[in-house]
Amino acid sequence: MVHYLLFLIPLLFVLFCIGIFVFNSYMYKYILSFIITLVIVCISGYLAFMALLGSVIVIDIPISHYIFGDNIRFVIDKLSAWFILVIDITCVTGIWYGGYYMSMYKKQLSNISLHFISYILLLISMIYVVISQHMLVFMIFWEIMAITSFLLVIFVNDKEDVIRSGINYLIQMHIGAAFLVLAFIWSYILSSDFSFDSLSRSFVLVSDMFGGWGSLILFILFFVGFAIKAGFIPLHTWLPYAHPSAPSHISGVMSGVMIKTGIYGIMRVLTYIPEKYTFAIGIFLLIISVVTALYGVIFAIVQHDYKRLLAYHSIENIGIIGIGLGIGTIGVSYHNSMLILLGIGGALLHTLNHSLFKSLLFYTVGSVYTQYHIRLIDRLGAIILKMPFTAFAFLFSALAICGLPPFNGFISEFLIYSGLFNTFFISTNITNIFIFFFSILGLAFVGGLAMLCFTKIFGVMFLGVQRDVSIDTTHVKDVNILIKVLYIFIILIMLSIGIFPQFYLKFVFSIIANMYDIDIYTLNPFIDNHFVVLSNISLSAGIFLLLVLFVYLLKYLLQKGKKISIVPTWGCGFLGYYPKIQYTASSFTKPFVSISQGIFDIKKPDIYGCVLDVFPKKCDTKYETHYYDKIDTQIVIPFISVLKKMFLKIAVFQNGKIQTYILYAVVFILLMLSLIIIIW
Amino acid sequence: MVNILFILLISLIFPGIINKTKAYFGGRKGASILQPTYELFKLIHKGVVYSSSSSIITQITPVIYLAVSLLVICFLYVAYPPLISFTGDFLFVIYLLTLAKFFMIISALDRGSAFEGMGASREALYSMLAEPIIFTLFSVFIFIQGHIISIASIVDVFKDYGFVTLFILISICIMLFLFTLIENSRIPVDDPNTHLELTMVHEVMILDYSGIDLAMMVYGTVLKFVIYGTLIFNLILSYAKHFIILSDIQTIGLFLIIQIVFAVFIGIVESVFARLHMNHNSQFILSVLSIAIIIFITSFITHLHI
Repeated sequence: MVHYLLFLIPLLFVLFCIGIFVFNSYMYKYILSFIITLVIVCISGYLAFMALLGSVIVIDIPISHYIFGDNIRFVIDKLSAWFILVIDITCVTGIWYGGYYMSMYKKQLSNISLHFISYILLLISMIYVVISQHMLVFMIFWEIMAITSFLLVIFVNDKEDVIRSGINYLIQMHIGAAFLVLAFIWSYILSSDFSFDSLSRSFVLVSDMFGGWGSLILFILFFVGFAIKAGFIPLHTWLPYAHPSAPSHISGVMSGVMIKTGIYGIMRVLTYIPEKYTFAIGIFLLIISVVTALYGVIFAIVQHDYKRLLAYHSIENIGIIGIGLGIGTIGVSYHNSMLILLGIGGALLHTLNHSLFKSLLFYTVGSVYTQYHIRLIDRLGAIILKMPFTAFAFLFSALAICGLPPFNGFISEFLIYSGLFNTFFISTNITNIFIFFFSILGLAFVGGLAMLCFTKIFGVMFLGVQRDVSIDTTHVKDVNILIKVLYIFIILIMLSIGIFPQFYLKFVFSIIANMYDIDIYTLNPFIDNHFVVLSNISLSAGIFLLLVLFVYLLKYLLQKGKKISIVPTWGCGFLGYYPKIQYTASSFTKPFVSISQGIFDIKKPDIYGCVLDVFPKKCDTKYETHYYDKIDTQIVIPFISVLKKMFLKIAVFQNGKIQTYILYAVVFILLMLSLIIIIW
Repeated sequence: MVNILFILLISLIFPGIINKTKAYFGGRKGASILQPTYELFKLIHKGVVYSSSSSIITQITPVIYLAVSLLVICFLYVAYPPLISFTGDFLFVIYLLTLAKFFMIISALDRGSAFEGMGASREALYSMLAEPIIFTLFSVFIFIQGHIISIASIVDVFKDYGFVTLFILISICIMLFLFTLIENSRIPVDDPNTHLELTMVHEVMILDYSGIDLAMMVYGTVLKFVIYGTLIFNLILSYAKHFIILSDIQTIGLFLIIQIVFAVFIGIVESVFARLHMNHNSQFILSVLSIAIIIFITSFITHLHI
C-alpha cells in the first residue's frame, strides 16, 4: 500500500535529527537538510498528485481505534493536495535559498542545527495539518507548527526586538489556538465526534439550539482562530513584527505557506456551513477581506523597512484571497456555480501565486541584506548596477504582485474580478449591489495602491544613486549561480501560470467541483467558456511579449549609427550634484500620506519649539516620521499594559526563593490531606 | 486591420489639432496640423543621450510603453471587428496600461534627479486615484448589458434610445473626457506647456529622454488619447445605431469626426481653463470618481434585472 509511504516521513525526521549532529561543518548539515527536504517533498508531492489526478486518498493509522479510542484518519482530498503542493514548492525554494542566506551565520553551528531541525519539522507539521481529519490531531500539528516557526523566527537571538517579536508571535498564535480548541470542543459536545466531517452536523445542531446566532458564533470562533494565523484585520498585529525579525528565507516560507494554512482552515470550515447561513457569512468574509486588503496595502506604503513593507503586503494579499472566498460562499447561497468556481478558483490560484511571488520578493531582499546589512529603504539606491540579477528578479515579482500581465498575479485577479462582476446579476437588493460595487472599487484601489507601493520600493532601493554615501559598497556582489537558478526557476513558474493558465486552472476547477459537488454538466460548459477566455489571455500575453521584442528590434535598427552619449543627469544648471537631492521613499509617498493621514498614528518630533534663532543650535537636526498601526498602538498595546499591571500584583507570589515555593508545596499537600479527611 | 490603420492615421494629426485650436484661441495662426508628426521624424534621426546614473530600465521603458499602446489599439472597434476580443478583455487592457505606467514611474526614479521623482510620486498617486473611475464605467456597461462584456461590445451596450439612456450616454462621455485629461496629464491636472517642475506630472517624467526614446514616449501618449476617443466614439455609435443605419464608410467618417471634435474640445479646455492648485488635484480626481459612482447608481436603478 503506497499510501503508507506517508508514515515514512516522521521516520526520516528522526534519522535527520540524529544525522545532523554527526556532521561538524555547515556545508554538510545544509546538504543533509536539503536532501531530506527533497525526499519529504517528493513523497508528499507524489501522494498529492495521486489525489489530484485520481481519487481521494484515505489513510488510517492502523489499530488506532484500540490504542487511542478513536479512529485517527488522514485524508488527502483534492483541497489538501493543492495545499500540499503549494507547501512543497515553497519549502523547497526556502531551503534552497536558506543555504545561501544562512552562510552568513555559519559559525553558530548549534543554532544552525536547531534551525534546520525546526525547518524540517515545520514542513512536516504543515503537511500533516492539511491532511488531518481528527480535530485533536489537527491541534497537535497546529501547535507544532506554531512552536517550530517561533524557533525559526528568533534565530538572530542576540537582538532584543527579535526576541520580543518572537514572543509576541508565540502568544498571539496561542490565543488563536485557544479559540480553535474552544470551537473544536463545542463541536464535539454537539456531535460527539472528533472528525471534521461531523462539523456539518454540529452546525445544524447548534442552529437548532440557538438559532442562526449559534451557527454564526461557532463560525466566528473558527474564523478568529484561523484568521489570527492568516493575518486578517484586526488580528494581524503579529505579522509586521515577526516577518522582519525572521531570516529572509523563513519570512518567505512563513508568508508564502504558513499563513495559507489559516486560509486552508477557513476553506475547510466553509464547506460544512449549512446553506441558509452562507450568504451572511459570505458577505461578512467579503467586507472584512476588502478592509484587510486596503488596510494592508495602505500601511505597506508608509514603511521605511523593506521587510516590514513586504509583511504588510502579505496582509493585503490575504485580503484578496478572502474576497475570492467571500464571493464563492455567496455563490453557494445562490446555487450559482459560476460564482463558486470563479471566486474560490481565484482564491486557490492566488494562494499559489502569492506563495511564489512573495517568497521570491523576500529572497531577493534577503540577498540585498546579505550584501548591505541595511534594512532601511531610504539609505539604499542603485542596487541594479551592482546586483542586476537580483534587481530583475525583484522587478518581475513586483510586476506579478501588482497583478500586471503577463505574470500570474493578473490571472488570479482576473478570476476574482470576473466573480465580482458576476455578482451584480444574482440579487436585486440595493444593499447587496452596493456591497459588491464597493468591493470592486476597493479591489481597484488596492491594485493602484500596490503599484504605488512597489514603484516606490523598486525605484528607491534599486534605481537612482546610492542615497547614503557613508555606506561602503565596494564588496557588494550579486548572488551565486545556484541562487540565480532559483530565481529563474520561480520566475519561469510565474510566467507559465501567466501565459498558460489553462493547465493550472484545470486542476483548480476540478478541486472546487469536488469540494462543492458541482456536477459535470455544469462544470464542462463553464470550463469550455472560460478556457476560450483564458486562451485569449495567453494569446494576448504572448503577442505582447512578441510586440515588445519587435519594437525593441525596431528601436535597435533605427538607432544604429546614431550617436549615443552618456552624461551626468541634467540638473537645471545646478552643477553640485549630491545624492541627497534625489527623491527618497518618504518623499515619494508624501502626496499619498497627505490625503490619508487619519488612518495612521503619526509620531513626528516637535521641532517648532526648537527654532528660536536663525540657526537652531539647541536641538537635534534629525527629523524622523514614524507611522504606527492604530490597531497596534491603541488597542493591543494598551490592553497588554493593563494585563501586565494586573499580573504584576499577582507576581508577588513569585519571588524566586526556593524556600517560599517549598512552603507553597507543603501548604498545598496539607490542604489536600485535610480535604480528603473531611470528605471521608 | 483597417481599424488599426485608421487609428494610426488619426493619431498623426491628433496633437496637431489640439495645438491649432489653442493657437486660434490665442489669436495666432499656429503651426501646421502635421507639425508634431514632423517633430517625431526629426527625433528618430537624432542621437540619444543617457544619464550616467541610469540603468537598462531607461532603455526598455519606451519600448514597453509603445508596445502596450500598440497592443491596446488591437482591441478597439472602429468599423470592423477588432483583431483580439474576448469577454473581460477590458481588465487585460486596463492592467496593460497600468504596466506601462509602472515602467514609466520607475524609469523616472532611475535617473537620480530631483525633478523626476516629483513627477513620479504625483503620477503614482493620481493614477491610483483614477483607476476606480474606469472600473466604475465598465461596471455601468456590464450592468446595462447583463453579462461581462468585451471592449468591442461597447458598440452594442445601449439597448434603447430613451431619455435615461441619453443621460447616461452624455454623462459617461463627459466622464471619459475628464478621465482622459487625468490619465494623460492635461489641464486641469497638469500643464503640458510649462516645463516648470512645480507644475509637472507627466512631462517631467520624460525630461531625460531624447531621440528615438522620446519619440516612442510621445507617440505612445498620443495613441492613448486616440484610444479613449475611440471609446467615446463606440458609445455614441451604440446610441446612434438606434436612429440610423450607417455603412462602413459612414462609420469611419463618424469616427474621424468624433476624434477631431474630441481634439478640439481638449484644445478648448486647455485654452479656457487654468491648471488646478497641485494640492487640489486629488480632490478633483475623487470628485470625478464620485460623479462616476452617481452614474452607476442611476444605471443600476433604471436597469435592475428582475
